[in-house]
Amino acid sequence: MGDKSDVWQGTLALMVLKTLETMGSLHGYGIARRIEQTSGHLLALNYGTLYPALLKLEQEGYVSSVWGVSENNRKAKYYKLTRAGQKQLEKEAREWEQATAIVARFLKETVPST
Amino acid sequence: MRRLRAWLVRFGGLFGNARRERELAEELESNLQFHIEDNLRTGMTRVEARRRALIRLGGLEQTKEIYRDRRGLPGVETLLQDLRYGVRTLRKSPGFTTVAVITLALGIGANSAIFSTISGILLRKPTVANPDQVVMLLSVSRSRGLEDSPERPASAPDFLAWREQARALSGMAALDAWHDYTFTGQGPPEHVMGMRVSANFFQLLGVAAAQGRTFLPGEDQPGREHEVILSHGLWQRKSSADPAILGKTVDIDGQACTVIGVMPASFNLWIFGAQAWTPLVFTSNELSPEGRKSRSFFVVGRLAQGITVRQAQAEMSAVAQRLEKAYSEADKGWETKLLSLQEFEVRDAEVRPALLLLMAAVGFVLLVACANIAGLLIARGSGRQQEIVIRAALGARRLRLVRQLLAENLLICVLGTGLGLLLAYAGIRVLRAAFSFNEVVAGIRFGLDTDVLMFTIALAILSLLVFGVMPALQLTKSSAQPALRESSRTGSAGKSRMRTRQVLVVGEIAVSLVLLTGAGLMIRLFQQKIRGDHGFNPRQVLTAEVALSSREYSDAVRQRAFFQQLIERVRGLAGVQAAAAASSLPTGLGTEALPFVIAGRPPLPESDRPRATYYIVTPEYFSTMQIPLLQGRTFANSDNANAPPVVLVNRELARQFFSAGSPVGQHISLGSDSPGHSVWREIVGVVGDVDESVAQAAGHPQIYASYLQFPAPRMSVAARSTTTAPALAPALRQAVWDIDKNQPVSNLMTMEQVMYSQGGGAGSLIIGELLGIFAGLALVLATVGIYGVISYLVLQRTHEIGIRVALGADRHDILRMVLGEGARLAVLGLLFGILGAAAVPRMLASAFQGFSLSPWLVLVAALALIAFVALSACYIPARRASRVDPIIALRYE
Repeated sequence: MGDKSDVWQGTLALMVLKTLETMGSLHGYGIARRIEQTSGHLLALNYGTLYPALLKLEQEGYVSSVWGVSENNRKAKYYKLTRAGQKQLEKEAREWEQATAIVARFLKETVPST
Repeated sequence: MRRLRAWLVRFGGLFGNARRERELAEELESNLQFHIEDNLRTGMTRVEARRRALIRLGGLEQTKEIYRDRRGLPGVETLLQDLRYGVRTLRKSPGFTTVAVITLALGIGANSAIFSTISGILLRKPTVANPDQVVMLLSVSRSRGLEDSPERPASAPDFLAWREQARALSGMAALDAWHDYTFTGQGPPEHVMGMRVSANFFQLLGVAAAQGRTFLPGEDQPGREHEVILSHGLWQRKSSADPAILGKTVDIDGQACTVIGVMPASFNLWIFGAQAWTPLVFTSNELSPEGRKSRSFFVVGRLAQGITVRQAQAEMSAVAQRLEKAYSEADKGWETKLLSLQEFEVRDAEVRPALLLLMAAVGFVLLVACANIAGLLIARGSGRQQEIVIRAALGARRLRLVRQLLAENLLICVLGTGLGLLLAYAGIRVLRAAFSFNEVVAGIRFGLDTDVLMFTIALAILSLLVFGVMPALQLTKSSAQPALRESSRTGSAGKSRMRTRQVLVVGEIAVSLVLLTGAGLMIRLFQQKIRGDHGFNPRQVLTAEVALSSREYSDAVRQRAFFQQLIERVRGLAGVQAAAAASSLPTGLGTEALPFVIAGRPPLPESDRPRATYYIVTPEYFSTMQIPLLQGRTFANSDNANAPPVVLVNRELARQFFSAGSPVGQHISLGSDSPGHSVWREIVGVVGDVDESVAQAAGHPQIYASYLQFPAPRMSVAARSTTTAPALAPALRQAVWDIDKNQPVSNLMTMEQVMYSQGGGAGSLIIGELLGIFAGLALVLATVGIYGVISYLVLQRTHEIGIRVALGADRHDILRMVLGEGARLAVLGLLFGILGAAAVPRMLASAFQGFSLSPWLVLVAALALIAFVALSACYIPARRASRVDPIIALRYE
């Protein structure tokens, strides 16, 4: 269980960062909704799992949070990407692409042409 | 880097919990609301909207848990939680907590104090540079004539020869130790223990003076030796730490000497107890061929670089052989022996067997303490069985449970260790006070040894953890079902635990018996030593040492006159029954053993001649000390300088050498007479034997000479009081000063104090007392142990007791039943204890000479005491058991 959840958490963090980069400042629910949409509704995560991930990002300094008021006058915590977060996002995105490129090459190769 | 930041933030997350909980709840709530609104917009009903939103949110509690885990440091938080829970649990059972903490504290405190003392005294390195390289060289006689101590210091010519010929030693110095100086010039005159040393003494030891300087080479030659170095203690005491002491003149034995240096406080060769050092100048007598036979100078040396003691010993043995051949008269039969300074310091002290015995006692008490703790924890463990099993069933992981038990035990450890530290510090102070019975030993400074402390603490923690955690491991291993079903009715696991506790208690009782027996024997030994018959009556006798300076009282006439006057005066004092003087007191220090020759017997070479302890006494001595006269007469005033020399011998000498007939009328000559001039002294009487030390087992030959015929400058005055001895003290001192106001009076103490401090009685008293304390400790611990076991037993069998009562047993039956259980344990323990206690007398006999007490009385007394205590410990739970209400008992699980 250990390894998979770490990978999952990493991916989730990446998605959160990207969402924040695109959308600017957003509250927890908004982030979750947006991730769902971007994934073409193929990803159905429990919204609850988002909050520990957000906490981790905040502890690491990649996002910052502030209590604010939404459009319907509802109190909510808004998250924003920090500069460090921006850099981390770029770094991780690069790494992810590299990783997928390598795996893709392997997959292409192992199919011998007959 | 980021991870570090995260960790730090998480550390901060340990605090401010309530606020964050609230914030999270608010966040989740707002998330929910947003979702519900969205759902409503898509047209669901309110109920449906809420339901879907909740599902998508996921398990609230789980989210909160994960969030919490991430927010703080879960490990630390659980530990804190465990600790808090532990405190609560411990407070709920104060009896257990108190006993466990106290037991632990006693074990740690007593152990550390004793072991620190032992290492401080026995293992202490001498305060010199590179102490392992410093050795003492002694002369050892191969012939059996000197049974007292075959090892002696060296003579001056031998020392010089050794120094010249030894290559293995880079330097040697001679010392004339235990030299009594009359120290005048800074305050009232006083006797001060000092040493005369070669000029290179301090340089050889590698110690520098704290003020001024030590001796320069060449200062131990005649004419340059009027210098003195003071010890730190002497400087503080006599000169009140005068900063301008250097260059001042003081009077040492009548000679004016300049103070050239003060030694640092840390310099203390305690075996010599020197407070002042002057240069050692050999007299022509000491350097003469005759002087080669007089061995009174200790020799200290430093091993050359890279040389071992064994190599040096080999070389010195060769040197000794050469000397033997060259000077056969003086050096025949003499070898040289080397030992390290440290060994030498410890060897002569009588404290070694005492300390080893104490170590054994402490070991025992520690055992008992551990057994107690083990028993307590085992009982506790089984009592919480249900709790642990239920928690395991509810999902607690094994690690968590074990950790929680560990936290509890940790609390006990911390409390017990803290208390133990306090006890250790207090104990060291007590021991330091106890070990100053001897001037020699009092000079040693020792403190709490941190190594020992660490070791003991580690040991205690280890045993605590092991015994505390074992139940947890055991319990969490078995599956829940049988444990839940288990009640005190069946409890097969409970039985084995009970057995362990019973075994522990039996062991504790046995150990207590051994300790008590040992303590009782030591105390009786002391009593026998001090109050026993030593050949004289020490009660109500005050003594003092008066040593006349050789400058003022240079000839025999003046010496004799002084003491005659003094005894007259003292006898005339109010409250004095009788008074006398002697060159040394019975059981006191300062005795000399001289070889003697009996007229008319075949002559023997000097080294083979028998020796007798030689006393010079005034005529009234025997009546003052109440030593019985067995044959002939004692000294009279007519035995003066004009009369032929007379002596008295003791019964032992008469027995050994005059078995055929009475010694009265025979003649004896003593080794102290000048050579070629044997002075034949007539034996005029036989007196009773007197012990020379409190521990003395067999009699020694003793010879008395009359002071009027052979005056000496240094005598001990003894005055028998009609009331108490201390009452005479001021008058006695004044009597001396009335004759000579500059005459120091030293060692003013009662005869019993002399026996105590000089006669070797103190050792066994202190050991007896300390052993008694340990025995008491062991007994207390054993009692607590028994009480615990019996209570527990009663608790286990409450159900059964209820049935018995319901079936018609009355209170006394129950009482008898429980007491019977306790008695069984006690008897078993006592039986084992007797086996152990039987070995005690033999052990003590090997450590202390003259030990010949029958152990039976003490053993029986100890048995009775323990039996009584053990049964009392059983009584309370027994009474409680007999009062049990059967209805409650029957329902008890």
